[in-house]
Amino acid sequence: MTSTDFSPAGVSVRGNLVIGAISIGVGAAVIPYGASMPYIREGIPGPGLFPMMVGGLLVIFGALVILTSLLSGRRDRLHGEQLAAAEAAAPLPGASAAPGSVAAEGSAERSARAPVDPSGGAELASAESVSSSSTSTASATSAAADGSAPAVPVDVDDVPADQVASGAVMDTDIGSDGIRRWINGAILMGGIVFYVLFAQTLGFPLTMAIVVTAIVWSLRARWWVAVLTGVLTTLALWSLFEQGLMVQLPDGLFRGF
Amino acid sequence: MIENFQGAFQLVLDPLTILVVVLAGLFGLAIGSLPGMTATLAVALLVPFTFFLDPVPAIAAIITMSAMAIFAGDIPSALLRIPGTPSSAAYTEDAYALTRNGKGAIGLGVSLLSSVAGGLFGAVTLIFVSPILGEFALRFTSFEYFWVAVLGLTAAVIVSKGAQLKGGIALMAGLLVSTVGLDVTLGFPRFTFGEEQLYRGVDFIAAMIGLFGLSEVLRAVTARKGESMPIPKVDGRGALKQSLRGVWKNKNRVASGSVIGGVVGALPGAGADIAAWISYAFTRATTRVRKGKTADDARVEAIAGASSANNAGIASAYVPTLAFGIPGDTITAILIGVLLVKGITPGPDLFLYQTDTLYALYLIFILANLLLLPLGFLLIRVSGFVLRIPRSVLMGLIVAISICGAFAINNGYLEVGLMVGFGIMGYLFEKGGIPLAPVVLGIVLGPIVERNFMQSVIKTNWDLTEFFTRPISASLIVLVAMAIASAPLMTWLGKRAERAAALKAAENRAINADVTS
Repeated sequence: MTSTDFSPAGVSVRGNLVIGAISIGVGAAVIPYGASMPYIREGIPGPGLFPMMVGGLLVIFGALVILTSLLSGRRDRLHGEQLAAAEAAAPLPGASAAPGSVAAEGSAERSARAPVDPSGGAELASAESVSSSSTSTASATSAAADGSAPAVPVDVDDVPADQVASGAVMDTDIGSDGIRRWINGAILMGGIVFYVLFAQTLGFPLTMAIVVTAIVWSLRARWWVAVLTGVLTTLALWSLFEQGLMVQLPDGLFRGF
Repeated sequence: MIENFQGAFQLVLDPLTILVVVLAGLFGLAIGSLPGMTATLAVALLVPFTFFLDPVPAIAAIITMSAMAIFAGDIPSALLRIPGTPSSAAYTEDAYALTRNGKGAIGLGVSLLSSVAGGLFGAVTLIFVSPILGEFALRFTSFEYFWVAVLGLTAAVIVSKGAQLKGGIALMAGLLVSTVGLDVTLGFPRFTFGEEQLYRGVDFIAAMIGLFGLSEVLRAVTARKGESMPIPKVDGRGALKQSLRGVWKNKNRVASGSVIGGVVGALPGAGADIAAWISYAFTRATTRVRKGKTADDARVEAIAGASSANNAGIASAYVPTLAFGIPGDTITAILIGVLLVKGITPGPDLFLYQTDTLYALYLIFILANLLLLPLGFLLIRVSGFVLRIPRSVLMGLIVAISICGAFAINNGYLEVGLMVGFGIMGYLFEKGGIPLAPVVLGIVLGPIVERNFMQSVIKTNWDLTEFFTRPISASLIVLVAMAIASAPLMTWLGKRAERAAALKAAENRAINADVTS
């Protein structure tokens, strides 16, 4: 649920097409299934009505996703060209620039007027921050700047990021490169499947310790950290669920533990 | 009213409840302060434990935890420039800039104090507004409940940032999941594929753990390698006094942020993060230039506005939850699931028959926000240590809790399998830019929409005009229509402003380059 992940720009046009196609496919499969359900009376649908409605909306939304992503792909391309033109032209302040960039500049001015609509920048800034959070810091401050307040969050007195006194280093990253990423993912999912398959025979303590140790170890932790995490987590959860919450976890080999 | 509060005090001041509140608070602070771990994830992991508690401690745990997690999300914003929860994303740049300038402790202190103020304001809003709405809701019939639920669903889609169509797809996915099991009219098994265990439907909690817990782990595990990050030192000495001064100077900002948070949070579907964004934009747009006011002062101002808004939003999201049984955000959606399991039906009945529980809930909100003050300052002090918990260990821990939690629901492996399925689904959805919140609301509200719709049409023998001609219905329909109409408009305005801002920035760069060369 990080804010940047929801911006549609992060997903390619092809990705959107796939999403739309899957959505249409699921919807198209659900509708006949819903229609095959029994009716309350002749002509009065019962259990199948709701799934059919959902299926229909899935088809509609899927088609709209395909349509809009094709259209916005084109608009974004045009915008990119405009942006490149504006960057390249480097117009002199106050003077009209090279004839080639006049069109781009004109449209830039027209659209730049949007955040300073007479209705007030605040409402618009809030509207756009709802619709696209990733860029709204920039646009919100631009709206503020247009309202004659230089509240841009960059300042000449600011200390640069690389000169900050740091007390410690956090290894926030457990990602890997290349095929290792997918091996780690497979270990995670395989671990859970392993638990489902073997918990009944091997018992909760052993299975859970193995699964947790494997997952932690696969993420480049030292082996003793991994084993310690596995054992301690298992013991803590065992005592919490079995003793504290009275959930019967499978004993397996450790009967009477 | 007084005697109600007496009973509620007894419920809240139970030693077990206090213990649960403190433990859940610490858990929320820890999860919230870790980047990428959202408050929703914390709640989803907590829910299996609450199954085994009485209603009041269970609700207390969830409320305390979400309030703590929302504040704790500011910690990595300030120290690492990564928002801990989406609600902190609005002012991450400001908080991080303050830390770079050596004022990290003040920024966090202001953020904490305004969080507490906003949370308390939200609680007061909840106490005074929800009974009024609850009384209004007493006149609701199945027609109105249908429309209120539709309003909640529509709102969930509209607030899907910049991707309303995908929000619609997510919502439909959630609704489709909610139809699994025996149907309400004839008891006909739907989407069960001959599996008898699925007759009771897809378990909501297993779905939550998968969507928010497992998918997050899956994402972290398969992420590309990045850099290790230095944690800046935060000098906490004397910060309390300066933070108090900072908040006092910006008390109007705290007030406006609280009001914005209170209003926005109460809208069904909109949550604390949206409240924070709106309040941030408002504060930034209306800030005044004064002599001697530095950029840091403007940042403190913005933090005070936005940080009070997200905590106020957390509390006021409970207004529609309690009055109508319609969740205001994902956390309240999970809470509704818990309440239903506990035999408490959220909605107007709560105000008539279960006033003890209701007042206890009010008290917990106030208690949780007061508790946030000492625990929050403690967290600011030890934030360096919390952030150094190895992520690999954390991932193992989350997976273990997820498996146990899913298993404990029914002592069965079907729920663990469902959790895996929803984990993969959540992962794929996030990759495709499809928001997850509408899925949750679809799963929770789907049965409510369907039941009320079917009840209504069977009652009137398929006379659909009743849906539109009743006065309360009609006003709700207008709201739904307005909400739907606003969606494409907002996207269009947002896109337009976004492009304009990018163009302007490019032009500025070009002009500056010209001047310097």
